[in-house]
Amino acid sequence: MRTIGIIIGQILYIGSGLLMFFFWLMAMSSWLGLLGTILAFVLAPGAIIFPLVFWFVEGVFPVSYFILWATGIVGIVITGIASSFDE
Amino acid sequence: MKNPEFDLQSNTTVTNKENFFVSRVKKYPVLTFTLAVLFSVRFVIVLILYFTGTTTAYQYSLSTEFLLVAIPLIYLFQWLIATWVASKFTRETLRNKFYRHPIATIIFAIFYALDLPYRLAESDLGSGLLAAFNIFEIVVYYAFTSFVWWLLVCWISQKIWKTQKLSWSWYNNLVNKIFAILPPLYKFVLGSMVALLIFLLLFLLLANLSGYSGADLQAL
Repeated sequence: MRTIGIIIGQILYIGSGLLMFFFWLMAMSSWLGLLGTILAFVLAPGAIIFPLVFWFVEGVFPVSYFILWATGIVGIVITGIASSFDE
Repeated sequence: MKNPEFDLQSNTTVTNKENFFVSRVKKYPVLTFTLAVLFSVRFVIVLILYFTGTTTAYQYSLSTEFLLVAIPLIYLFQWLIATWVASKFTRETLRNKFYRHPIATIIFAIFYALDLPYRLAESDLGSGLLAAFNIFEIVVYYAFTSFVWWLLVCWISQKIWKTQKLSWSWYNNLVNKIFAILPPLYKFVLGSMVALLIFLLLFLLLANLSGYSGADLQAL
């Protein structure tokens, strides 16, 4: 149960993290062109706050990105709970 | 006046009954988790059909009310059988059984690999994630039934040939590799499917709660 829980949690938060980075890359290159693409890689950890950045820049509340955020948090919670189980 | 001895006995019985299920769950968590996931998916589908008022023929022209009662019982029964079979072997005794019966193992593996596509083709798999769960369920159930038949063949063969006739090092190495690869691979596949299910459920729940229109994705 511990291993499966950790696998599920990790897939959720790594998957949502990768998706978030993908959207971060798309948004940065859309906003700033080639410079944005380079900056997206340089500022890769900024993907964590991407929903807030997007909300600030576009003025549209990014529901899907916040859902992705929530999924990542759920993944971290599942991993944390599963890690506390005995093997 | 209550008989304290009787009380003590009845309490012990209750504790033992609890321990049977709890200990089985603790001893076979992956098996329990697999059946719990498959049961949940199947049961939720029937519940959706029930509450949407769909008079489903489902697969065998059974009423939805009957399925609501039958599905938990069937999955409980399956769990009992699966854990009972699993309780008969440790990893090492099972590995030794595979070592001892190479011919039966190879024949069953070939039959399984050849027959599985036909089993999948003749089933109504649905679409999307449901299809993935249905495929997974068929693969697991067919593997389990093949395993039980294989056990029967091994038992008969053991009665006929008392000593081991064949032993191939390449076969033993292959068994070792499968024993090393299969458990983490199985957990990864099951974990991925459940993760995807959780993601979809979360997305549906939060999108419905927030009245999501897709405007943010169109903005880019």
